[in-house]
Amino acid sequence: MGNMYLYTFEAFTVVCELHLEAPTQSVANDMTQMVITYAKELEYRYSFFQKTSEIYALNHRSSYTHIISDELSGLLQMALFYTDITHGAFDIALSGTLKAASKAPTLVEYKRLKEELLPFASSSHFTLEGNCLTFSNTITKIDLGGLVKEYAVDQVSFQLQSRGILSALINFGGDIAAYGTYHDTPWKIGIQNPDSLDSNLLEIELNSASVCTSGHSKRFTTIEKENITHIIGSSSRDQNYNQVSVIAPTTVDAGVWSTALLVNPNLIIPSHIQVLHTI
Amino acid sequence: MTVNSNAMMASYASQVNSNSNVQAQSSASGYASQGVSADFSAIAQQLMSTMDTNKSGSIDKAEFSQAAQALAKNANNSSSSSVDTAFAKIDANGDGSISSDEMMNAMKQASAQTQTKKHHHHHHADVSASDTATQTEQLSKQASSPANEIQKNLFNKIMAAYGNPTAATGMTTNLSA
Repeated sequence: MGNMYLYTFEAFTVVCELHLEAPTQSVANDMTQMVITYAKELEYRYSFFQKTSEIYALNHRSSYTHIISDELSGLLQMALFYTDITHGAFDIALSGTLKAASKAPTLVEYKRLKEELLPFASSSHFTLEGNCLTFSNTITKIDLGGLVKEYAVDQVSFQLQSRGILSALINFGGDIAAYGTYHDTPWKIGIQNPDSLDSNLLEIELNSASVCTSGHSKRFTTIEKENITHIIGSSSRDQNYNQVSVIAPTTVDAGVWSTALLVNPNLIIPSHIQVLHTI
Repeated sequence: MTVNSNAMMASYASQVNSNSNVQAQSSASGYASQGVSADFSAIAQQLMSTMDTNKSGSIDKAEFSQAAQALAKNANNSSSSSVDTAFAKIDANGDGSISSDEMMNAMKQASAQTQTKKHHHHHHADVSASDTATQTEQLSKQASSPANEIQKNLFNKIMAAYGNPTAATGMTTNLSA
């Protein structure tokens, strides 16, 4: 058995942690460098705001049809799969398109803009055929913010395993995957209480699975003293829960379902998804 | 990256239209036309003029490849074999160059396929169950695509969780997660 190493770094605008078991410090350093480089690359490629990203180019398009990269095509296909399976509660065109409204100076203006943009805030406004992405308008925008961080965690997990790392916990801002053990004991994860950040609502054990928590408590925009959440639903039912935690076989799955259940708490959950708690 | 000749034609047509008098049409439903609607001949001539950099009257593979690279500038990589495939598809008589007639035919095909896709997509909201099956099928295809090797394990794991037996048996066995 090797030693356990812990690294922290920043990517996707959140604090990331990597715990891994490695035979030497040098191996652990190399693995961590690989993980940081990979995470930064994904952030660079798929950021909503960075002008260098493929997403930014698509969202600031002047033509309707675009040839996109293989990886982005796969990500979009995955997003469309989840949009269908969550009946639209998870939709990469929803928050992206409505983001413009959150810049409104007043609540009246915010509501007006949201109403105006809502008809375009749906994945039904683009089609994907292989690498060919065609939009029906210039207003619909794609935001992979609810997918790419989770995707990064899953890919890092696969890459570490393929490089012989037997145990690791990958935590990108609360999107967590763990496999193997921590010194022969299961990995333990505390789910933070949004009302008391020093305490945990509960503690879980995680092995070869992922957990994601979505909530309205940390990320929002304030307009006229009212908090506008970063998770935007298309109807008034979106405020039923403040926080949802989900365990799933992949981080993408856990992330999508925790977001979708915030938007629509009435969704029927697949049997492999475990909802930990909702507050 | 795969260079799709129809997609390329549609994209080029859109760019040409934005700089010409050939107007794109819009529909009441909010769908804007791809713009390959009225005068294929005029658009084809403009495309020929743009792509035919040595002014030979036809487009050779080098000129075509250059245009394809320019179009795919936002993608992370490009494949010369996919450019060859797209070129061969448009070069109907196989003489190694694309004439204005061949360009015009390619435009018509691109337009027809784009319209078919749009028509299909209009009914998206009405057929959610069958579309979910389609999306599952599409994700399975992505998982089996050699171009998506980096995403294959993840796609297979997701599909296995949703009960896709093909994905489950196709999983890479040396990964425990």
